[in-house]
Order: sequence, then structure tokens, then C-alpha cells
Amino acid sequence: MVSILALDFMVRALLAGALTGVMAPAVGSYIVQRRLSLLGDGLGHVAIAGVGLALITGQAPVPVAVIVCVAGAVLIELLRQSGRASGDVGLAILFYGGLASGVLMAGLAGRGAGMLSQFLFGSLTSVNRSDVIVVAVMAALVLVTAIGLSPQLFAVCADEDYARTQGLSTRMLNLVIVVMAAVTVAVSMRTVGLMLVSALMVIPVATSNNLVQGFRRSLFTSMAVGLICAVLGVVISYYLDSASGATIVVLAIIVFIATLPISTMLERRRRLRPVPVDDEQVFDRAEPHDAMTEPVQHLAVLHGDHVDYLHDGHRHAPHGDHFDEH
Amino acid sequence: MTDLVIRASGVDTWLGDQQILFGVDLDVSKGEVVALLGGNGSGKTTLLRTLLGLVPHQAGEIELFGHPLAQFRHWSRIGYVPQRGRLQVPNATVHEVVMLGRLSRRPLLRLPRTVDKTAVNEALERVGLAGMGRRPMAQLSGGQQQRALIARALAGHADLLMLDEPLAALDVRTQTSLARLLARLHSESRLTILTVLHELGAMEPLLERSVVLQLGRVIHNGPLRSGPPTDHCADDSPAAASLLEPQFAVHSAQEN
Repeated sequence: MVSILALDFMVRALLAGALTGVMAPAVGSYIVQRRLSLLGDGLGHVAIAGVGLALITGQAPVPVAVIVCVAGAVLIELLRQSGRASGDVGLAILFYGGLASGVLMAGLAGRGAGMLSQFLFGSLTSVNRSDVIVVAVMAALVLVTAIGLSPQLFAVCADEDYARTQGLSTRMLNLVIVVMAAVTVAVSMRTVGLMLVSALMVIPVATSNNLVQGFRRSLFTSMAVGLICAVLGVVISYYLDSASGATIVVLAIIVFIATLPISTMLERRRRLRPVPVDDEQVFDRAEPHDAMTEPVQHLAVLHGDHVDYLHDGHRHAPHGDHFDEH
Repeated sequence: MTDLVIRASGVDTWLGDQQILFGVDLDVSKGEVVALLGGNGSGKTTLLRTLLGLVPHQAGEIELFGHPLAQFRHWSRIGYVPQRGRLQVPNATVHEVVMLGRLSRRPLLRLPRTVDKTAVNEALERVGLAGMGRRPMAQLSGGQQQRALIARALAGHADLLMLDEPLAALDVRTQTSLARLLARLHSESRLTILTVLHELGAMEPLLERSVVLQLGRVIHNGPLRSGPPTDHCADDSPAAASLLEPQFAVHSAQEN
């Protein structure tokens, strides 16, 4: 590890990887909630157009890709909001238009499609100093927005109509989400790569959903999972001499699979915790009650093959026409 | 000072190239419990969404609490309870969902304060979900989810509840339980309630007035007892319409 940190390009790659690992799941939490898990993939294709444009104009690829990707994302979101393009048609236009024009421009710039692979799947040695600065600034902006506006962004993703009745500008908040996604995708090209960044936006979120309950807890847990996967993935890819993006994503998938048994175990424990049930469901099975009174609630506890109900500090269970004390 | 909570007159609403509402008039006074009834495609949900500004109206005027809809800013006074299926919360807790009801009272970038958490816990208690805040919303039963959505509307201390088919896809016992809850909330706080219903069902004892829509037009607006048979409302077929027409001709004559 010490020898890795002695290498300047590895320090830059680790920094860029760590920032990407934190920001991708932060944005991904909203993308997954809105059931737009493949949005990042479409934006990755648009960013390729940005890379092609940078190559043909002799500019740095990352900033140009950020601008092109954000412009594409805003355009698609505005089309979606105006009802002129459905979500899937808009994404299809992003996919093919971006990819084709990017490859075309790279070719015109005298670079083959093979050269693009370092942007598609990540390449540790390609991270330069200015890339790290761009990634750090963008990551700071995205993280402040994703965490600071989390109540409003969560509201839009969970129930857009309700958010509007709370006076929120849902059009603006939807734009914020796609712009954050576009920025994240474009700045991830050096580490995870444009083809695989979407996985880093989605898989850590799925992993955190296996471990914790609640949107906010899941948001922060997914950021921690993304950070660990990205940093470890960069280190492993150095030793294996593999594409960093592929290594990070395979690692993220392994972690996800490893958490599945934990998810099952936690689910079993949750089922044993008391659950309030309507009194009607209990009393209708065993004793009459006043139909005009609103039911109160008791806690239900799984007890072997039946359910006990907590009532005044003791547990009882319906048995025929009476209750047994348990 | 007007006592009208909702005033709509001559409202036309189009969805795409299809006109859904035709010159709808609707007044709801403070403390009233009013049902919007009608069959599939009658426009009752579109009317509710139009009143909330979720669907633009092409003609007519809408006022909420005496303010034109376009200028209305007191959203914390309104508790919207949409149909359960609209909620996308794969991993959110009940507390997080109900906390959304505090959004209009919280400035941007401000974390929830004690007053917000207290309001959420009180709302959960009022709907009978005390202690359920940390549960994932997705693990609740249909009736409990509906209670949580009502708690969300209450958390902002709304004085107008607007519900969209709150009893849909629930068993009869749960419907009765929810109707009792709404009756209690209404009697405790004099909440104004406007609810879209496909059929009266368990809500009937609570309702003071019904507004019946058919093919986008109000065909009845008055006390429930003089309204049309509920069975007929669930059917927009020409046969059902012909059954309804004579009754409403009588109503129109009486009102005029």
C-alpha cells in the first residue's frame, strides 16, 4: 500500500476514485428511487460525444464531457417534462446519438474507437492533476446538493404530485437530479469509465438497501459502500493490471451478493418484532366488541406458529372463542 | 370574510386533446365533508387534481382559502392524500414519508427540528400508527399505508384534507376502520374534507354532501340522501345515464 502511495498517478487515481465512489451512489439513491436506474447509462453515451468533441477540438476531455453531458441531460429532461418524449424514447436518443457522434468525432480527430476504451472502462494512468481538481470541485457541488436538498429531492422521487402540493418546484428539482447525474457520469470517466459508472450509481444503493432501512440511512450507507468499493477496486486493479472500472464494478457486485444473506437474516429478525394490528382483527376472531368505537391497536408478536398480542403488559393469543395467556 | 375553503366556477380541463371537465362549479365551506362521486372516466380525480393545480385548467376560476390558485402559497393548509399506488418508496420508513408533510413549513437546507419530529409523532399517534415510525412503508398493510398517508397530510397541520379514493382496494373491515378515523379527525378538529369516492361504502355516515360527476359534468350537488343510488354512479353506460337523468331533472328544477 505504501509503495502505491509513492506513485503520483496512483494517488491521483485513488483520490478521483474515492470522490467518484462517494458521489455516484449519492446521486444513484435518487435515480433508483425514481426507477431510472438506466439513466446513468444513457448519460454515459452522451458523455462519449463530449469526449469526441474534446478530441476534435484539442480540449481536455473531462470538462468538455461535463458540459456536453449536462446539456444533453437538461434537454432530455425538458423534453420529458413537456411530454414530447417519453422517458424510454428520450433515453434511446441519448444512447445512440451520443455514442455514434462520439465515435464519429474521435475518428475525424484521427483517434480510433479503441482509444476510447480508456474513457469507457477507466484507466488509472490517465488521471492527471487537472482531472483531480475538476472531480473534486464537481464532487463537492454534487454532494452538498444531494445531501443538503435531500428532503426536497426525496419528496420529488417518492411522490411528485404530493411534492407539488407542498409548494416545491418539482420541475427544477427534477432538473437538479439529472444534472447531478450528468456531472457524476462525466467526471467518472477516468476511474470507473462511462460504460460502467451507472453500475456504481445503482449497485451500492441496492447493497445498502440490504443492510439498512430508511432512505436517509440508505443514502449514507450507499456512499460508504461506494467509497470502499472504489478505493479497493483501484488498488486491486493496480495489482491485477486490469481496467479500474471493471474491477470496481465486479467488486461492488461481490459485496452486493455478500450482503444478501445479511438481508435475509435482518428480515427474519424484523418479522419477530412487534407489529401494531387493528384490534378488530383480533377481537373479531374471539370476542365481540362495540362496532361503533374506533379500533385501538395492539402489538402483534410472532410466537412459534401463531401470533400473540401485547395487551396491558401481557401477551395473549386467540384460541377458539377465548384468549389464552402466553 | 368568506367561509369558502374551495371555490371553483366554470372549470374546463383538457388532458391532451380530450376535454375531461366541462364548466364545473364547486364550493366547499369550512368544516364540510364533501364526496366527489362518479364512475370511471367521470372526471372526479381530474377535478381534485385540477383544484390542487396538478392539472392545468383551460377555463374558469379556482380559489383556495380565498386566494386565486395561481397565487396560492399556503400549501401547509392543504393535506393531499393521493391514491396509494402513486407512492414510490422502496426503502423509506413511515417516519420519513410522514415527515414529507412538514416540507412546506421547512426552509431549504434546514434539518428537521424538534417541532417537526413532534408533529410527525403526533400525526402517527392520531391515525393509530404510534411506534411504527421506523418501519419501512412498503412493509405496511394497505390500510396502514393509507393511515400513514393521512398522517402525512396531518403532520403539516392542514385544515383541508383532499383525498383521492382513500378506501380503494381495501377490505370492508379496513374501509370501516379508516372511515371511523376520518370521522374522528373531522369531529376533533373540524377538518374540511373533500374526498373522491368510487362508491359511498363505509364513508356514507360521514358525508354531508355529494357532488356527482358524469362525463365531466356535475349532475348532482346536494345532500347525500337526495343523491343518486350509488350503484348507478359506478357505471357511465348510457343505460345508467338514462336512469339518472330523471332524478337530476327533478333536482335541477328544485334548485332553480
